[in-house]
Amino acid sequence: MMEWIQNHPLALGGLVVWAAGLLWLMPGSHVKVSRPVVPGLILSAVGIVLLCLSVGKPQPEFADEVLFWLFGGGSLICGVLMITSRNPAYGALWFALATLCTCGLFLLRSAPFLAAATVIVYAGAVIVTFLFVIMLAQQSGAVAYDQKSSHSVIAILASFVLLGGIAMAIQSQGEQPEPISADQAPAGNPLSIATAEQPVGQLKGLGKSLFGDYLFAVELAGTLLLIASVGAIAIAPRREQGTL
Amino acid sequence: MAKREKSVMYVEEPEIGFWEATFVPAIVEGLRTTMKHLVSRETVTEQYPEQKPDLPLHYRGVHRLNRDEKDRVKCVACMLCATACPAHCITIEAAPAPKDWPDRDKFPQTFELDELRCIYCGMCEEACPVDAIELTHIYDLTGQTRDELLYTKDKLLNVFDKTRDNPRDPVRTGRGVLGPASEFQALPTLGPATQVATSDRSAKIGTAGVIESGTGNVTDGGARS
Amino acid sequence: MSELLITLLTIGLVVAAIPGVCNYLILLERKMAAWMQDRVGPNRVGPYGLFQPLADGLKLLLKEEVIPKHVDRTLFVLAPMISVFTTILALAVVPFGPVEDAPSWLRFIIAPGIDIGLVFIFAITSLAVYGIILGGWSSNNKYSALGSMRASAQVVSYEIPLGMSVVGIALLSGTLNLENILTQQAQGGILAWNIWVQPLACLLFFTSSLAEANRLPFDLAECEQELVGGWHTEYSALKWALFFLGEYTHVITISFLTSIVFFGGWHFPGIAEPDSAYMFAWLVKLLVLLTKVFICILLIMMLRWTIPRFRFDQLMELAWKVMIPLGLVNVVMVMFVQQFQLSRLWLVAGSVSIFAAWGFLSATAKRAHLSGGKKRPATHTTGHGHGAHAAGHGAGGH
Repeated sequence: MMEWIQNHPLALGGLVVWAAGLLWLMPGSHVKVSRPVVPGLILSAVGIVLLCLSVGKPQPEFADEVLFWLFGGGSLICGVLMITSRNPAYGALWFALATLCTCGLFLLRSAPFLAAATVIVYAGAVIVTFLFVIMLAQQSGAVAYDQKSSHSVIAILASFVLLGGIAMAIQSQGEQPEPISADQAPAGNPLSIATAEQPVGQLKGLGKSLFGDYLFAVELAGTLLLIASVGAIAIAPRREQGTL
Repeated sequence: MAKREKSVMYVEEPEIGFWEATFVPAIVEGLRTTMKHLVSRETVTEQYPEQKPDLPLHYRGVHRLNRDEKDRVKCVACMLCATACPAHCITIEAAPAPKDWPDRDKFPQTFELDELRCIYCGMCEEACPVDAIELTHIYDLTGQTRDELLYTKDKLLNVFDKTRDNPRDPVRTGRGVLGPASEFQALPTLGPATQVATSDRSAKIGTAGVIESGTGNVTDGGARS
Repeated sequence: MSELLITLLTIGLVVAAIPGVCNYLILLERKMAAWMQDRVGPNRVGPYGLFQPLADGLKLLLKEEVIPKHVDRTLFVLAPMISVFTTILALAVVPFGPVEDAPSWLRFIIAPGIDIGLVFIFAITSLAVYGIILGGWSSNNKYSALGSMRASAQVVSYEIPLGMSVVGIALLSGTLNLENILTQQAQGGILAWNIWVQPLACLLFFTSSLAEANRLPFDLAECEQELVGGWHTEYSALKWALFFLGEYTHVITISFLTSIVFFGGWHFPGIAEPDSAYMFAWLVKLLVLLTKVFICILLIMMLRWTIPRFRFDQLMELAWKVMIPLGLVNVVMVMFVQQFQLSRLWLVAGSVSIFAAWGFLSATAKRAHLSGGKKRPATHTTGHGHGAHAAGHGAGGH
């Protein structure tokens, strides 16, 4: 790990600068006095650029490049806006937009099913439920405890350690990540199971991978979700006639 | 309690059978009904501007001031209509009747009726002792300014001239003869129609039953207390 | 002609046709509503009221755009755009004609060969609810908020049976690509139409897509009697019109999907076969498909005046207690048939028997519920029915 840090001072610097900028942007406990946004934005932008420069270059084709920066930058910016906006409804909307940008990245990596499924599950269901709850709870403007972030230092520290780990993992696979559909992906990479005719991004390949190679994990996840939903129903309050 | 129970009818919830539970017969039945109406082309629509509506006889439209058999205005400026009007849309200025009108003391110098304020309740018609004001079947009342719809005596008499021969708007009451009130020789004693407690504000007003808005006891008393 | 030009032409055609078609669908709906209620319908503008849509459009264009002071401006303006954008985007993968026989200058699908066609449509239409939610929330009005909350709960619930209903089709045809689903049905003849093997799925699909589109009898989000106008209470002029453009586009999408997935698309025995080689075969196939779509739209419009609006708890009950279990059982049945290589006739029998079993179960449950009420002593004083009845008689007797 130290080796990686020594080899990539740029990435570490980017992470640190970005984290500092984000910490500046976070809505703090003083709701009334809001800090100027510009320095935080500049710090974050510089950090993002540094990190992106150090992690790797996008695809060489022009359209691909434009789309990559559009979706990638869009998802990062939407993510930052999501955690920094004071209005929870706007936060949920930025989350939705970040999800859509991520789906755009999936599409660029020729994984259309993953993109569509993410849109259905996250943008179409999870965030709609968020909005539902926010609307139920916030009929008359946002309340004070929803306008500030609690534990922002710990949260940023944890998330940036995770981000650094991901960046490290990506780079240890090689300076240029291989496109998913390529059949010469390195051995040991779980994506290597895909063949040229059935790339894992396409429907058939994905199905084979999920219900063939990873059947146990899929079943385990399904059981977990079942347990969770049974638990939720068990916890839900009951009255004499019907639930709720 | 017991009486009320008798007037209540309890309805059994109908048994839900197999077919009802599947919703299918209900939906098919509903679709058949809508289809029947969709296919049959009998309409109940009235094509209004071309086809005039057939209004009921008691329809209350634009007012008119009736004339008597000598073509004089029948109104005797008694103010009963203005008093009865819940919308306060009638303004009458009375004047002593001309010398050659021996059957009455007063006649309306001006008679203004704001058709925009009027709610067409027909209380003026009910109140009129000489059957001078009546509501006609004219329903399509339009105008481009407010003044146009402020009906003066002339306009109201004009409405009478236009509608007197219409079979739907007969001179309904009195047939052109002044009503019974014009034959009174002496006025009955003035007083409230019913017993009014002396603390009631209506008992303190000069004319029983008339509460003038904006002046006198009512608003002042309200403001002081 | 280059691929790019054809694509642009197709996109232009769809985007231009949708508002016009929607306008005339609104006229048709008003006419049908009038006929079903023994009225005449719009008949003043032009012969038989045919220019009414133009007059309506002009009116909506020229009306004052009211943006109330208390709204969240950005989202208030954005919401109708999202509504229209998402619904039109969903049409991108719907083949609106015979794709293989298309003339060289036209393609009957905007984005051909999308592997995940159906999933794409569901993903995009599930985003359409954002228009309603944001419109209702940004209006800062309790009726709008209530309407959009209903919409969000409804769409999230009905997405599940909607997705479940086509899983069976996907298993049977082995693809999610709409063109392939259509071609398989066309090549198999009329008996290969999916409606024969998946009638229950068709019912579920149609019902839950109506709920997704917020059409009657599921238009809880805008129900006028309770919520003034629901989520569009504060909207006026063109922004209001955009919401309804979105809704009608959704209806068109539903009708296309139902015709393509379940009723064989452009295929009709004798008239439009896959090997029809006469001149303008593509035109005939296009007309066959459009006729099917039109019949479907007519059915949707008739249902609007046939079935009264659901109560919200009934709506949720229908989704969670009826349609999701039915969809699940249907998928399991298809899996059985595919796994054990059974004849497809089993699917027909299975669908009918699942439906019948559900009807029997629900009738039994209802009867048990009713008789359960009979047995209960008259303890709940506020309750109506038998308990209160008995108590009332007792009081009257003494």
